[in-house]
Amino acid sequence: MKTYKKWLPWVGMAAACALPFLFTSSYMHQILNMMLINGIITIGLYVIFGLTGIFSVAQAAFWGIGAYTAALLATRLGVPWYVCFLAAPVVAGLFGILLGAPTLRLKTHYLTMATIAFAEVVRQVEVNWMGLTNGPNGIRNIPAPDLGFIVLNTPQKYFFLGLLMLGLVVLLANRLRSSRLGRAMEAVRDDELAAEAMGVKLVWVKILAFALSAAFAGLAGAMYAHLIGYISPDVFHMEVAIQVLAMLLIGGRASPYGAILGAAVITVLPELLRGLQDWWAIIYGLIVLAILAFAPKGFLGLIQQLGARLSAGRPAKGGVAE
Amino acid sequence: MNTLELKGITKLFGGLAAVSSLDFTVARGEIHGLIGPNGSGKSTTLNLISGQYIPTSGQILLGDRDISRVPPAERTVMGIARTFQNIRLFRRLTVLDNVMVSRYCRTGSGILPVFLRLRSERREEAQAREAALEALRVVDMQTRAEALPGDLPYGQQRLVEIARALATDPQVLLLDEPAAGMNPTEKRELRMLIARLNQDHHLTILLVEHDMDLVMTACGRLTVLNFGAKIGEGTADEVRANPDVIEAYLGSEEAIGA
Amino acid sequence: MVLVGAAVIGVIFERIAYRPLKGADGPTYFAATLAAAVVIRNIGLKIWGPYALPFQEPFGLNMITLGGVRIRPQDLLIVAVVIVLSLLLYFFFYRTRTGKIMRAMSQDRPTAQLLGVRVLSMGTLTFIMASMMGALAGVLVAPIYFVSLDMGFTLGLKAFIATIIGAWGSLPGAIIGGLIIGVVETFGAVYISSVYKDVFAFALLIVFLIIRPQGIFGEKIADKV
Repeated sequence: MKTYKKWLPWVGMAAACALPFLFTSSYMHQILNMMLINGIITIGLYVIFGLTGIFSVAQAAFWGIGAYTAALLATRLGVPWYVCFLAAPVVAGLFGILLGAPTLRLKTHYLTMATIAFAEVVRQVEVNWMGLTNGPNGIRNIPAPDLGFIVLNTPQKYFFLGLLMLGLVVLLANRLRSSRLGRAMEAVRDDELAAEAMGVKLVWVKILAFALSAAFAGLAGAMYAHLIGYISPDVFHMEVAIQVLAMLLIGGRASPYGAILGAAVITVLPELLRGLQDWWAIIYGLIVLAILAFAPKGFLGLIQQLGARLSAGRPAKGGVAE
Repeated sequence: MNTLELKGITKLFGGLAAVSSLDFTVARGEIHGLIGPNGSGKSTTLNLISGQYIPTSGQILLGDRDISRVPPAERTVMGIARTFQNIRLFRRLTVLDNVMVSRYCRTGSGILPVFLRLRSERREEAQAREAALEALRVVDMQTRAEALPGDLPYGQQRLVEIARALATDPQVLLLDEPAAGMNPTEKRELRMLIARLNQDHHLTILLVEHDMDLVMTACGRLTVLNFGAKIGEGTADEVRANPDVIEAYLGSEEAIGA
Repeated sequence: MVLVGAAVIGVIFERIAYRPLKGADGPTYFAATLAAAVVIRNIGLKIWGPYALPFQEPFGLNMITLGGVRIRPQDLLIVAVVIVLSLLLYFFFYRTRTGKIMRAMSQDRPTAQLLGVRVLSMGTLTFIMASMMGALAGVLVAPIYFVSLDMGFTLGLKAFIATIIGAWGSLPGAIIGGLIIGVVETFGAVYISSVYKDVFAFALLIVFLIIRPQGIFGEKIADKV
């Protein structure tokens, strides 16, 4: 079981490279890119919620902060794209710490409310601080990434940069989860009190979770800004945060791959439902509901169950009888 | 010097005194029992020592350091480890991962070494894994390393908790009713385990327990609590003969093995 | 009539979006609630279209003057309804058996079940009451703001905040929390900045979460070790 886990991600990446060539429309390429971007944001949610158990609804806000950071640096200061890609996660990460630090002692729904409040305040600032963000008009003319030998000015070309970023994030997330930090996060999620009693520094772990999840979302923001070339506050609405939550829950909150799977499904679902015209949103909501009800561990959970059933015939792992 | 000393410890919850003016000491290298009827303040005392509660007044000393207000994680670093009355294993982590969590405070790889997979981090991981397996071997649970806590019977979960506490490299081990939910065979093995931990691993042990058999045979000295105050202390025989203790456990002469 | 419709929606919601989840954890319920909201909202979109509808002002444009201040009759109606409703709810939750059963359920559901409470029907009743009150709020507020399908979201958020400021699970808390938000918002809009009006509720929330997370009427919840 464990051996194929090693090369699966590489195979996945290779297979993904073929995707942009399966479609000819720029629109489909855009969707593929959005899958990547959403995947990264959702992996951020995986870090703070899947690993650490903190139910934060602020991911969209950090996505927005990253996007605005990149956009402002690129358009006002002429900063090249790769610096933006570096600066956005750093700035977003700092805001993550800003949100995390004062809310550490809060429990469950209080904490969630605080993240909602934070997200809403960020959005209000984006809309109203004309001097900085240009308000509802947004920021235009964000240049496409220039790699020297090629400019990524079509979604198809951009996809490969996006894929690289996603691969990087997955790599980091996997290294995190199999390290002492990831274990500490999971311990905090499962039993904060016991974790502390075993020597885990709660403050550190939680702030790290906030910082990393925000940083990932920030990177996704920079990616979005340079992909579309234009950002405005209504892109980063709360509904995005809710969609990200759905992505993680549907894909499976136990691993970064679940995050990617869920992101892909939710991103593509509206397209698949397009044929239903104005019924699509209703069916969409119902599908999400159905998956939440019947697949609580997400698709990844279903796949695991399927795998377990297929290798049945061997007796289940038996505990020592009393 | 005593390993652990409680001086005049009082803990109030609202108006209720769970523990009042408690003085007791645990000498280095001893196995000390803390007993008393339900509600006598045993768990509260344990929580005060491990840091989940802060005393309302009084002092707690570890060696010569006042740790009364030190947070729990730091006390663990200083060498106090514990198990819980209601088993508090990490339900979604394997047994091995559960125990490896305890190595957090003995390792130091930060986010950068983790992300870059530096050799130092990999070495630390391997060492942590080995230390955790070693702790599991002490309680004879290494064969279930990949199991989830939920797959294990109660008694084995308690053993894993002990291994987890052990993996923090403590000098003092606080055991909160470890025999609860164990059958007589398991209890016998537990008694031997406690003796091994004390002798081979040089741990000072504070044992809170209801099972009188276990407590009387495993412990060198005992402290008896009732209604948050100390009503007796001494060796098992001394405590058994103490009239206040007998009265506290009124009518249950078999319970204290008289 | 509106109330009956709301009650029906409440029942449907509970059947579709609540029961099937079978004891899933908080965030899953949260996501389900929002998915259901998407469904309801879009059904509404299909029926009524995307444009805001004007709502007939039952009192016309007449203002009443009270102590030198001009007040809309609609506002007075809202205040009156709130007072009456508060009294009714207080009576229901604290003086009737059903109300007490509901409170018990929220405190310890398994025990309530063991004591014979029909948790499923009580749950349905809860949703019915909640949706009816939501609908009532919508009807009352409609003449003031235009009727649109998005009016609920911000209001819903502020309702959430009100319950936290007041204290989760406390009836007087929710009422007072709502009042505080209303007052702070209005004064803030006048004296500080009307552009950031919606932010005040959230700023208030952050302040409360830091200083007094259990709310005004809340109690400390200790962790049993």
